[in-house]
Amino acid sequence: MRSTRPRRILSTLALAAAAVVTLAACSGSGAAADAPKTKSSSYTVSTLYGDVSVPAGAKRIVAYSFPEATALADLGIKPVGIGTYIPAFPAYTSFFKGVPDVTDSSGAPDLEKVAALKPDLIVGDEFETDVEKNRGLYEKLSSIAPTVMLKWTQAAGNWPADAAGTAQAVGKTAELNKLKSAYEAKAADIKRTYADVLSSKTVDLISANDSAWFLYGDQSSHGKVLAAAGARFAAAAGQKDGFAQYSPEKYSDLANSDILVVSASAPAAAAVVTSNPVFAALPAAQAGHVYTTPYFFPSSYRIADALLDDFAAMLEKAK
Amino acid sequence: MSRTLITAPPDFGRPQLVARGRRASVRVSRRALVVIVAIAAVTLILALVALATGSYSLTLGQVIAALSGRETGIVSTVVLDWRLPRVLLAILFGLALGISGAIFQSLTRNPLGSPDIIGFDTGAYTGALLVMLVLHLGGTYSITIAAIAGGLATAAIVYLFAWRRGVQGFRLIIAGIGVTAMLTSFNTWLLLRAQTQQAISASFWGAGSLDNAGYPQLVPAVIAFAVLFPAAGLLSRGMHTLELGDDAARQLGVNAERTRLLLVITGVALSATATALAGPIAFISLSAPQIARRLTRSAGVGLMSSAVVGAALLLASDWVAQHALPVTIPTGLVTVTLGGGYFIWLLVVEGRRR
Amino acid sequence: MTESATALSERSQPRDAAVRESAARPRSLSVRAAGLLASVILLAVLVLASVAFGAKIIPLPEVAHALLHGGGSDDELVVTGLRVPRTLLGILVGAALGGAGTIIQAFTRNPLADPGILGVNAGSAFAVTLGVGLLGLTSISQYLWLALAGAAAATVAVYLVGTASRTGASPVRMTLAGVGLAAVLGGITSGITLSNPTIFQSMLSWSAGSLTGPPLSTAAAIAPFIVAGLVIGAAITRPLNALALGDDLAAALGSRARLTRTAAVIAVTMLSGAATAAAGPVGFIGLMIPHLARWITGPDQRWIFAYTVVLGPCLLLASDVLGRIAMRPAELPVGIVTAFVGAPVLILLARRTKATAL
Repeated sequence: MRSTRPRRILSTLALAAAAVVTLAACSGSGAAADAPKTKSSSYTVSTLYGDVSVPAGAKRIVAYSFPEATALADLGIKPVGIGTYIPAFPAYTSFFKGVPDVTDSSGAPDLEKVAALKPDLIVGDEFETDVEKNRGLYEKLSSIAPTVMLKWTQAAGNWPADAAGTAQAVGKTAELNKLKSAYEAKAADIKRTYADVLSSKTVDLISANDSAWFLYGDQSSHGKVLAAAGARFAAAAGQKDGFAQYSPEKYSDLANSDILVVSASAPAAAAVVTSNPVFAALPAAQAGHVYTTPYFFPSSYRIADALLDDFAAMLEKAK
Repeated sequence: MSRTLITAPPDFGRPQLVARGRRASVRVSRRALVVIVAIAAVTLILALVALATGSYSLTLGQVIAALSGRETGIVSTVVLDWRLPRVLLAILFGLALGISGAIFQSLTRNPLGSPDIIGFDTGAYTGALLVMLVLHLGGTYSITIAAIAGGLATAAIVYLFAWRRGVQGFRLIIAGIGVTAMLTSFNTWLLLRAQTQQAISASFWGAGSLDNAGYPQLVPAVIAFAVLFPAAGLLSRGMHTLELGDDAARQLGVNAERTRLLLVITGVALSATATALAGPIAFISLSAPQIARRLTRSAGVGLMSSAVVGAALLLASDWVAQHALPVTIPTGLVTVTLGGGYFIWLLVVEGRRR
Repeated sequence: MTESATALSERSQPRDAAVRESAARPRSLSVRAAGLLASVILLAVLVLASVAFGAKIIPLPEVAHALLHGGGSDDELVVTGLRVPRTLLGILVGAALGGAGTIIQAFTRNPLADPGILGVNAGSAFAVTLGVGLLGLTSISQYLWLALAGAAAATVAVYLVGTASRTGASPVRMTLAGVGLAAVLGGITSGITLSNPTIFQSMLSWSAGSLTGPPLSTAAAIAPFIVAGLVIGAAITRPLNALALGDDLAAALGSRARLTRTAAVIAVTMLSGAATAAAGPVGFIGLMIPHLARWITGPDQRWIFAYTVVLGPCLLLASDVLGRIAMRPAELPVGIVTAFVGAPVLILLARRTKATAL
């Protein structure tokens, strides 16, 4: 099996509760970083299914998965249809208000809902368990409008490439690159400013529900952001998957982490983690270096930027 | 028995035709014929309604135009490429589940002896899961074959457990419920275990859904049913004869053991094919033969009537799952809920009658 | 296929089959007491196992140290902070499910009765799902009452359908009514959770049957109901003995059948409702344990009940320990393990001639 990924619903659901499960992994052929941009009448985008030519100036765009929808939002483009899950971020909540949901209860794009919106461009990432199986969905969507289907990896770890592909599809690579440079500059700045803390203290990133907790490595969307700012993971060092699931008994695996970042919708929602006696006894907890962040799956430069601010504040306290 | 095995083949085919002609007037009574035609007409109307309903609004005129090839573009795509295969699959699976249910209810001489209650569906799902999550094969054909193997293996196990100087209806059902519970646990474990590395897409399929219906599913279904439907038709006389008891069947020239084995294989294969392609869709095979029996007012279950009722039921359930609720849910959830209610109703009615 | 639907209840005559079957083996007082003592010892061993084994591998000396001297290290905290409270909750839930199974089997005279099979757990789960989904309840103390109401409604409904026959209640009818009810409620429950992502997430671990909630507060919330349910259950063991002889005989013996049945329904409701609220729908314990108890002790409800209160927790703890080590470093919900180990018992029972002349 070259690539697998669970249905989006799981991630969606899990995410929504900010406690969650995600799924999905993939490894198929990757989308090339940048594809040649042709004349202004159409753009060529590298997708999972080869180079796709999409018309320039698309007005009605359906973005059925969140990395693409949030990338469009960052570029100031309002899609006509989105998926059920959009990462919790105030600016996005208002931006997407009233935009119809085109996904079904399993999180897959509902072809008829998409078609009913009469889109001239569809963007999103792969959904089925493997690239070939996914081809059916891709072909069906393509029969509605030119479709750009990008690669998804576990825990939305592929978001920067998804953002780049989305920008290509709407001819706004230059704008996206500005956001990207700003983000990278901020990450570099944090790395420099907090070089001491970062070199002396390790970091780990988790989320949890009643019966399990999840450890995120540098292949996850938020792990990637922290790593860019110089975070060195302890428990998650070398973890190849975006996330791994553990029993509540195994919180002690985090004994070597100096700073623990808990992804939870609100500080109160982190109680399921902090009330665990084993967690509470961890060195990081004892030292008061447990921080929560509401940003789960920062799938766009704007949320990633906000997460960097959060992280900088944590490092400031942990100094 | 060895004698009958040897002599059976020549004896088996000839009297069958004659007998069928003769029995036709008995089995397919006039009322049954009327019912079958009426249900088929209802199914056709349901099919048109299903073709005309959806988020992408179309008029009946557009649907008919698309069907007759007078529409092109997106309207044609919606009708012919998206809705039509789903409707056709619902009909085919409904026919298959109805026939499968009739076969097993006839064999067990018990209205509860249908594949969903006895647990073949769950076994078929286990087979499919093993192939997808453990062997990592994702092709439609390997999943279908695995599901059929899983269904047959489960059938064998359930029969083995239920066997005690013959298979008795209630024991078969309890053994089925037990095996179903174990396999469900095992399936859940497979899914949870896979979750961290792999897909959970299987869990929605687990509820039984036609969401993925398309021509890639339609083709194997048509191939499988092209063999299985005629097979069931050929076995139909033997099946009804078996209901009279093994001795009577033998006197009428039917090889009881062989016919029973062929019926079991055909029934499991029908049910497993539908399960492989759509996931377990419960209660159609349970309720279709019983509803058909009541409509035709016949003493036993009939294959034809069960098949058309199954098709109408599944098509209607799928429509409800897609359009009647604020969100779309797996078809299997609608059938299990309606079927469970029917089941209780059946108990109450049967209880009052005696 | 002429028997058609009549087969539903055709073979249901020996409705007190379970009782008759074991009536052949009365046991002496000393054998019964010794058996009970052995069960208590088994429970003690399993309690220790539940404390000693889990997703995290902890050396036994560490476990012993934690128990004797309290928690200091990580390992000791896992033992005292997680496993001990979880074990406590397991004992409560196990006793409740075992007790509920015994009562329900006795008063329905159905050897295949079980709160799971009869749809009682599905009733609780359905009510809890509605509460979490529509009313936004989050803590067990809030939805416990819903779980109880759901259990009560399901118990009564199954009993009514099971007895809605001129020939009176039959084990087969009741079992089938329970299977049907569980299907309907389970289907609607799944539909609600699938259509509402927030519920789906919060119900995910609970719906599979699991002991991983906050164990101490959960145990505190359900304890009063379970204790009350067990007390009522113990109080009606003698009338249940009489009931086992059949309504006519029971009436002749002065057993007030109606009162006993009402008390039995209340006890079953409290026990399975509270257990389901705490751990989600956990099946098969209520089915297996009474049979095991009857097999050891013979057909006296008083002894059977005492045994089940001890043996129920044994099975639940054993299943929970298995679930903790079956999927390291994550865990398998206990409800999945009990179904896997419990279903073969159902099949075995179905194969035993007398119990299955049903």
